[in-house]
Amino acid sequence: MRATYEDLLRIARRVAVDVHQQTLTDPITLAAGWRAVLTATRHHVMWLNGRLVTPDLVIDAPTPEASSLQALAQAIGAGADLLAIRNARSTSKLSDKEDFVAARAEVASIALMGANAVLRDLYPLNGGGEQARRLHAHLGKVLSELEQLAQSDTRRNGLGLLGGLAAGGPQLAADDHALLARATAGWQRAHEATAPMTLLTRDLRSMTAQLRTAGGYAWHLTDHLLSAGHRLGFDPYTERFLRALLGALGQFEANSARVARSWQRRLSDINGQSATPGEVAFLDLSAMFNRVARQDDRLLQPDDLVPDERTALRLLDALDELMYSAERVARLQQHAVAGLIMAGRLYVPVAELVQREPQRWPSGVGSQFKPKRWVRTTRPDCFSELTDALGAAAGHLLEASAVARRLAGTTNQTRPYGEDLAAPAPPALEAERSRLREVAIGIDPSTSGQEFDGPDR
Amino acid sequence: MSNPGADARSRVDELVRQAEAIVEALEAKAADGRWAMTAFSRYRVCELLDIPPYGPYGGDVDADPAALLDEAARYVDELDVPIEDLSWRLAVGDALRSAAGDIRAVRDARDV
Repeated sequence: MRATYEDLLRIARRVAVDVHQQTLTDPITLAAGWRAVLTATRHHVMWLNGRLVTPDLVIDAPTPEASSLQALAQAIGAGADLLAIRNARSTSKLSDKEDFVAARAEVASIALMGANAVLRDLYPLNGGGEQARRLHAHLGKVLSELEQLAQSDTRRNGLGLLGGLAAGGPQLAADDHALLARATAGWQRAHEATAPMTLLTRDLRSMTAQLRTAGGYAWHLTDHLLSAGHRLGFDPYTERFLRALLGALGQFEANSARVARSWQRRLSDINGQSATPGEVAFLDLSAMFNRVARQDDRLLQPDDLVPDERTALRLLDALDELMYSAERVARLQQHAVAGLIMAGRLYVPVAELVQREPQRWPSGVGSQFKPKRWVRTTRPDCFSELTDALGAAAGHLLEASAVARRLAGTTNQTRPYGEDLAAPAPPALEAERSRLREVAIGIDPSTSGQEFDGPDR
Repeated sequence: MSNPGADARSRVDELVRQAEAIVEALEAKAADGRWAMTAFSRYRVCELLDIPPYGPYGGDVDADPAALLDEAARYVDELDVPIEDLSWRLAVGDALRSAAGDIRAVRDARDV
């Protein structure tokens, strides 16, 4: 389970409903709360490529204690944070402008709910002094702008791909299943952080062994879920998907075994032990799997592994993360191998090259070398068996991952991946700052601690 | 004159080669995808002992691979190694035992 942008907006809306159910009577608390909501909304809308022109409210009194309005500001801010830390590569797909319009409308309508609650609370205060009058006048200005923004979504078809945007990893661990999901995400990150051209043959062999083992784990979990499904009464669709997952994993393993044999037959190994971060992270993943699925040297029976439907759902979540990470690692390996072949860094037996380029070798050279003599080459046809098997294995993992996502209900999630080469451009706040922040004039932004924090992250 | 250290090391290699050949034969003919779960721990054993996997093996393939690996682990514990290889010995012992554990878990799961 990962928090998506849509989840965060849903939470913000729920907090806005809470705001409606409480009444605030102090005009300073109302003004300070509303200012926080408006600032968070402005910030959020900017990350969605829009802007609010109404300036912030000026408050003379010291900021009072936290109120329900400030909780709303926080909830709106959480969505903006997710947009701010999004990963450039995973969001490159978010090109649909209409999705952004819909998100801006949703944020504005959540802020509007807050504004209406403030107006309602302000009414019985009967004037309520200078601060209340100023707040009233300010609301008059900002309400129309928010309303316009809230009605700008004419498509009325949800947030699209933007709604599935997820940042970070799976949710913070609450149980062993969630820890397993986090361990798989950590494994994937460790591989992503390793530069592909620094990998040696032994690292690639290790990756294949890790992937096969991860595939075996997934196979085992799926098999036990299927067995438990009869008892727990899974619907036919779930069972069908589980069988499809099992099929895809079987195909993956067949191709992956071919990869493992190719490493043995085709390529030499420079002696030494592999110690990539990915391998170390895999040991953690392995330990977590054993904690979930094993007791000492025995695998848990289906009834013990999946005692109830709740556990089944958690396992499906973990399975989804495992398949997703495995697919990413398989792709990384495939790209690394392609890069290493192009750079001529992988070895083949001499005899193999002699057979392909007889004119370049004096006659009889192939037989004169023992089969263990190796040379480096950039000829891709010397590696075709390996690259074919790698491609097929990654393809079957992609298929398995798609099925696992359907089972976990995360098909629409856009997950961050890869090293961020270029962070997404933050909204242009600098130009706006001097005009909007009347209060901030004359205050050094580096020391005030009150400035927007978006662009400097 | 025989060297007891070298004897123990070659005995370990022989046991691992035999166990690896048995498991490779099992995983090749089993329809059970669980055997793949042993791939990483077996890879680590072979890597640490510098044994090429999937090579031809002419010996006896009718034995319990987990017991063979446990026996190899006992030999490794008794290996007399120089001080800079102590961590290697620990790693090999650990890898052998976890591979034996994985193999036992998968083998017993098939009996269910």
